Amino acid sequence: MKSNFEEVKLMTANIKINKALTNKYKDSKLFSEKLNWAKEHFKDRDIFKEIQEIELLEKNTKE
Amino acid sequence: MGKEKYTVEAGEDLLTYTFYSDGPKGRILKIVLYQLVSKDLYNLAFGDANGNQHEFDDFVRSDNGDTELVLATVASTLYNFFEHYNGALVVAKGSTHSRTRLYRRYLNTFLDTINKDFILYGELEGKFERFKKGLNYQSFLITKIEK
Repeated sequence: MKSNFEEVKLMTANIKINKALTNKYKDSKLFSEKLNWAKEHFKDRDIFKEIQEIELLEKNTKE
Repeated sequence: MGKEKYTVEAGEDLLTYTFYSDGPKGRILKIVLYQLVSKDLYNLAFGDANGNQHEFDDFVRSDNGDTELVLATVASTLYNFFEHYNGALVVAKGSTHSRTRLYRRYLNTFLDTINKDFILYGELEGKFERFKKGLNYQSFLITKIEK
């Protein structure tokens, strides 16, 4: 049975790449606001370290 | 993350995706963006084109009777994204409480499927944890399981 990723690899082959879409919408007002929220939310934060700590805790709990 | 999805087009860098929602309110162009926040951290943003090339409305507001199909299509872009941005983290948050609640409900429903390929985290009071059903998370993080 195929995993979702294997299925999507097939889908990716079928996905229509439209060069004109690249970067097309990134400067719109709504999307800029969303990006600003994310930048502010993760400012001064090492989210990868936070995730590592969660995973370590998860591993220790399982053991 | 059901099998049914809309047909998607993508930009060359696989950070921009578009598709059309078809429903009682007509054909609505949907845009999905993965925005680089900092190294390997991306914000998942989506919206409806509202007729103005440069302004967009938040998606689910369009109420075109196909919310599940729209969310499944957005979820499908995650597979394409992670195929090319391995090791990245993606953050998602609704622009209102009701929208975040809708995403949470969707994630709850499809958690078993999501867990096959991804690790999902929820944020409560500024702190992330592994996503658990039934909790009122304010935002979500998702990453691909390394296999």
